[in-house]
Amino acid sequence: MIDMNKEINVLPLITKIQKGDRQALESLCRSWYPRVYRYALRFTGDEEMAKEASQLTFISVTKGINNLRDPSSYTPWLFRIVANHCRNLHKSKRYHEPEEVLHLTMQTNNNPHRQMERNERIAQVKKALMKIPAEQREVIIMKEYEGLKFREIAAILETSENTVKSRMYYGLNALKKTLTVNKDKIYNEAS
Amino acid sequence: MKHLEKEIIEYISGEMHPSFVEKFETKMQDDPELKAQVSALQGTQNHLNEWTADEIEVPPFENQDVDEGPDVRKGAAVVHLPNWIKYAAAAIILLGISWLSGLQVNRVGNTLAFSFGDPEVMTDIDTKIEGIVAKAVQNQMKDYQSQFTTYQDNIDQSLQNINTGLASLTGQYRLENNRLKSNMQSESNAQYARLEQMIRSIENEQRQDIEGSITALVQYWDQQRSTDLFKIENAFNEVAAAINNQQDRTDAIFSSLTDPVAVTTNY
Repeated sequence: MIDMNKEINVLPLITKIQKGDRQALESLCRSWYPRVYRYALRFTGDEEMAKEASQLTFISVTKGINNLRDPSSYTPWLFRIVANHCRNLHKSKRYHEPEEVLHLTMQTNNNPHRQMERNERIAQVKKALMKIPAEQREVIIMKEYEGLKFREIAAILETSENTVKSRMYYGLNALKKTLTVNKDKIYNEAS
Repeated sequence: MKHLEKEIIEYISGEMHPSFVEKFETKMQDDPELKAQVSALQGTQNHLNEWTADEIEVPPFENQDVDEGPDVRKGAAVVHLPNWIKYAAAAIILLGISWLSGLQVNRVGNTLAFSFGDPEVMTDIDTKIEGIVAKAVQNQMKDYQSQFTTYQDNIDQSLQNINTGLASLTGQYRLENNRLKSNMQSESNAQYARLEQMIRSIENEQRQDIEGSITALVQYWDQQRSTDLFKIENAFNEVAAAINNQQDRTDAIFSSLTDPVAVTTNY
């Protein structure tokens, strides 16, 4: 489970930012940028779009943080912003499925064949994620990758916990089907 | 969403209440189909988690030098006024500026002619008025935005309170439910014990009654037997007496047979 404020202790930073400390603001944004970018990439499936969503998110953070009354609600507030930007960007721009498998960081692995298989499996995950509805995708990303609790996701998406659980259930089932089909396809191609 | 689906998702996400986990696992043992479904979803989760954070190359952070703009709350929650309000505000501002700058509308023949006061003075006044009006409008807009943000905050806070309240009520309901179940179990056990006690008591009473009856019967039988024996003995005695009497009479007859006088006398 990911600690909600593990990136950096945000509470004193927010106090400083609200007193006009620009350096504190930059520290905060820099610290949370990787997490925001990863969320955006997993949601949009596109590096450029993820970058744009991250930038828009931190512009919104810069403009709105002075109005954040309860600094402890920073994480859900930030996720609400990034989720909104991702949704809006994804709606406005058509997602293009990449021709290449996936641009991945090359991991140090002694077995290139195993690394290739792993990359293939990750590419399947990415494609499968892009095939499910956005509302199910965002719940799965928040739960599986960001480690948020159902209660927290419900607060971020401003919906009920039951709705979140339902989206998670149907999303996982849809992913299961897609991933199984892909797996069978690979086995068939291999044989 | 069905209850079972909810249970499955809570279980595989590690958010099932510990007191229900064992029960759910027992249910899975009894239902191979359910077990297979849970296992498949856990497999999907594992597959998803192969796309770790380390697999994503994050581009360098670019410092966004953002000027202090209007306060924007909650990311996309930007205030969008309807177009008619914007047009109405613009028209009012124009009319106001026109009026303040001394716009005069004169009818010359069939056409309308517009004239202003002293052009130089009016231009200066116009600029000032425009500035004032623009500032007032800007301030008003800020106020609206601020109010809107406050209302939204209040709504968020209320929703959060409601959610907290609901969570608390759910917790209380569960506790109360468990307490009632526990009480019912205790009460049921107590009632069972009382019932058992009553049955034992009745059994004892009945046993005593039966034993009393048997004793009484035996006594009665003994008594009856004594009485009957007495009667038989009496009868026997009477019979014996009668036999004796008859014997006596027989003896007397035989005696008389030896004494002819006596015999004659008697017959």
